[in-house]
Amino acid sequence: MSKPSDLVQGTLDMLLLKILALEPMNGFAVSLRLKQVSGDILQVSDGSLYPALHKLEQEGWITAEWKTSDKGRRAKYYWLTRLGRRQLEREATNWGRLSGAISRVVNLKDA
Amino acid sequence: MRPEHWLYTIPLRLRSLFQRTQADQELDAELRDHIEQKTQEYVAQGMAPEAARRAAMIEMGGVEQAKEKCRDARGVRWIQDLAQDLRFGARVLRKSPGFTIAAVLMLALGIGANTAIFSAVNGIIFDPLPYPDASRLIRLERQQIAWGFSKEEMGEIQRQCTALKQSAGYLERPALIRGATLSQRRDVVFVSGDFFSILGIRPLLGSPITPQDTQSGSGRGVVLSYRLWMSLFGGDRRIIGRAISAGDQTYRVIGVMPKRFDLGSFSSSAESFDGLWAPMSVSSPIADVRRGNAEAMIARMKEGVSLEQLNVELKTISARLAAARPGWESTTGGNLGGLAIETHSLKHYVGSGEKSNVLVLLGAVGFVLLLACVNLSALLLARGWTRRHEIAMRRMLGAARLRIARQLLAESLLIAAAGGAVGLLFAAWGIRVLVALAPAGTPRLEHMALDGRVLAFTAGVSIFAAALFGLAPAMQAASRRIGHKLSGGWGGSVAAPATRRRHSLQNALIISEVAIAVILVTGGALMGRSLYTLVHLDTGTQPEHVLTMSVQLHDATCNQNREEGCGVITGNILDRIRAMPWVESAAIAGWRNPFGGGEYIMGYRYPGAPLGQGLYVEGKAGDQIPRDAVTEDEVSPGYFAALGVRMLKGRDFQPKDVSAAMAYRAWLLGPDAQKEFAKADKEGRCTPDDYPAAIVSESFAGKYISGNPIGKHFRTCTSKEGASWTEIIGVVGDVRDHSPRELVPTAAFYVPLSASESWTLMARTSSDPMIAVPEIERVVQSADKGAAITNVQTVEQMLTESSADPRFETTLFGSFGALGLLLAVIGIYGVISYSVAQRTHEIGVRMALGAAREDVLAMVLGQSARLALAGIALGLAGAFGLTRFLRSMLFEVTPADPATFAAVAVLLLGTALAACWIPARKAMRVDPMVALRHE
Repeated sequence: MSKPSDLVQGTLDMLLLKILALEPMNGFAVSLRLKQVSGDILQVSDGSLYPALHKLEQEGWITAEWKTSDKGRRAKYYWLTRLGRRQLEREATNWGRLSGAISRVVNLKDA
Repeated sequence: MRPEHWLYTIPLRLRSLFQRTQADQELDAELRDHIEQKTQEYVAQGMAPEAARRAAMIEMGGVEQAKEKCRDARGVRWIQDLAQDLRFGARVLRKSPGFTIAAVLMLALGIGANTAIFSAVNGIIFDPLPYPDASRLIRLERQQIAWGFSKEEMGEIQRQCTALKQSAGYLERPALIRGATLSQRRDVVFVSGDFFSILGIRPLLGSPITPQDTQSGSGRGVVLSYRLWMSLFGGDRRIIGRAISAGDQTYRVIGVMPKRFDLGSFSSSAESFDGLWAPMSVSSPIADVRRGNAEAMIARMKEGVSLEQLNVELKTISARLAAARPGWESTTGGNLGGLAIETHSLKHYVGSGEKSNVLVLLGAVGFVLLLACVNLSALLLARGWTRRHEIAMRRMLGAARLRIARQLLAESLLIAAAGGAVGLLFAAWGIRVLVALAPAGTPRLEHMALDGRVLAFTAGVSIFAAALFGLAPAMQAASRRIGHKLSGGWGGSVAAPATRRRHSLQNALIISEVAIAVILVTGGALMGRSLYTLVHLDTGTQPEHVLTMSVQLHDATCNQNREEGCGVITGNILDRIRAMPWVESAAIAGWRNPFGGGEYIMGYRYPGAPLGQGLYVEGKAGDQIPRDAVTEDEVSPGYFAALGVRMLKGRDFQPKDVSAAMAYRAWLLGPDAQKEFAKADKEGRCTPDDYPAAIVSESFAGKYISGNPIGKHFRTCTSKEGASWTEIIGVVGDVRDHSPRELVPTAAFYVPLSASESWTLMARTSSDPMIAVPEIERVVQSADKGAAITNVQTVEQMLTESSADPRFETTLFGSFGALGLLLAVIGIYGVISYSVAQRTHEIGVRMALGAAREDVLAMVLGQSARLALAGIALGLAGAFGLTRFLRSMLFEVTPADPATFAAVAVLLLGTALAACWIPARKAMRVDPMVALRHE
């Protein structure tokens, strides 16, 4: 199964930014959402998720705050900063370009 | 983008650094929360709570590892590591205070010496001209320096030269300046209007001299230098507006320049300026300048103009100016070269001499630091050995090599920081010593201080030193093989590669210590030898108990008639001084002092003097002897006896010579002489200066006269109809001082002193000459109430002063040499002791196998001697390459003086052997049983 190291370099960052761009959520929710949207194909171990989140936070792309959830639990909620939004746009553009290029190569018909 | 980025990241980094506990607690809570939620989810899916929890934990893949990775993500890991290393290092250093103090002191010595020297030279190197935009300042002078610029020419240059923004002329002349209580002879620089605005420095008090002051031609406002203000007026802030007399003129003080403005005229940059600036005007007392009003000009170039462009422009201007000076071609043989204008950047004048010396000094003191660093390396290496168990243990527990090396480097950094701090204290003290030792008038000395640049220098040097002395031992300690360490057999018996490497490092340390010490000691020894030569130079006098003072008469009768005014008063004074019980003999000379005063270079006597002035010797077919430096002095009878100058041949002056000279002087001042001057001027000849009789010095006779000089004749001017020759009536020994320029005695001749309003007294006394001062002063004052007495000192003091510069330089280099020797001794002692301690086991084995105690001693000494010899060879080679930079400071000693090099080699070998004597004896006393059981 794909492990995080198999993810294209930097892709995890983009996925996390994208997920957090939809709504602020805590780490657990992020892990659930990741599994959910990628249909279990992209499995990110919990041990890699948190360091990645913390790195994004240190970069200033996401920011965090402790909040009480509707179920009455205190949890650390992450959301995107303005810088993060810009970074996401940049990475998404790059990704589009890269994946487009790769699929063009892969779909080359034998001459 | 960036500032917004920092908005988020800086608080986070600070939080990671300073609220680490809280950050860690939150991290813990976050991960725990995740695992709890996950567990609940699994439980909801039907797993047993225990299994659900385990599954959640497994998915996390190790909570601690995840936490560690999150901490790494904070990006401040290296700071925390460094802080941890430093804390640990500080604890380790505190635990071995002996080592720490020795290391810090050693480094502080090196850093302190470097900082002190750097603060002394920092101004000269980085800020040679303390003026705004100094790179555009230039000095203009005539190729024939003495020719200077007339007022008209300065005006022409100002009008015609488009490359210059502003220009101004100046002329420097000594004059007696009367202060509040005492009077002193100082230099007066007459400047034209724009002088101060070109340099762009505002006065400390009052206002500068402006073009208005000089255009009217009657400006009377003078600006004082800081040193003059302090010494003659005690720094009185109410000085502005006060009247001051300089020479025979009265001025009004309008300003005082700041301390850093200590460059007077740029021609005598060797000393900081202590005179005053007066407006150049028609009435300036420039009696002896007949053609030029300014000796040189300073100017500020327009922006974007190169020196080449300026030179091209000046060439056409100077040709035009030369054409406007009719009569000059004839005397120069159609060669106008002498009238050409030369330009030099002001930087070229200021400190250009010192700069190279200063760099040499910095280089030398750098070697002291290097030696301190090598010593520290040796200390740390030995320490690494004693800490081998600890380090091996940490390696076993999983510390990476690099991590241990970093830890050891952090210790070095701490030592360096402490060394730097203590070094600053040493430097502050060293600066005071430097200021006290430096010869008076050393430029910019007063500005020496621990300013920002010096602090930055010290910090840089400390860090550099830490890297230099810490790197090798740290790498060495970290790279030692672990297994070998903990296996138990860690004597010297197994020559593991690491051990051999350590030995070669030790050897390299000893060799470099000796080599650096050789270089330092050689420098000091060469300087010492050169100073010795200077100080033991025969001055040709007997300076003991001789008092000198300069006297400037003020009596009105003196101004009216020199012969009957000054002459009579002077005669009276001299008679009364000679009658004093403790005065053995007394005489006067017309110049400032017998040493170096009144230098008279043939052919250059006055600015604007026509060529042709030179020395002509009878019988040499009218040959003009080429321009050489010849000094001339006017002396009274008895002068040579008073100063103790040997009379080699012939006789001293007698009253009849004095009367003849007086008659000649009377003619000089009369109308006939004036007519003669005018004629000589027109014809481009020099003016006659022929005294009836003269006494010449030994080197004068040797250089210019063949055969017995007595009765021979010479004169100092081109042949003039009916001009008489000067007859040589005596030959005296050469007189010289202890300054480097006097190594080759200057040819001198003496003529009788007839009468003068200013002269120098020489009085030989029977005991301490200073005792006679009050009595002599009373005599002078009673003969002439207004007389000014200056420069009261003994000839011995004067001689000591003449060698002040080389003395100072030698003191510095000598102390570096001594410091180097001391450091080398400590270092060699340390390294050899360490290696003996390390080899105790081996020595024990040797002795058990039958080696005698003497053999052990010989072995240790022999090995040390080999290393020392290698170091000496390397050091001598280095010294051979480096001492050439001392050349300008060495006199009568070549930079590669074989005797000095040999002596240094012997000294260092002896020192090295002495340094390892104690450890070698210790090795000799090793008890084989104890040594072997020690395992």
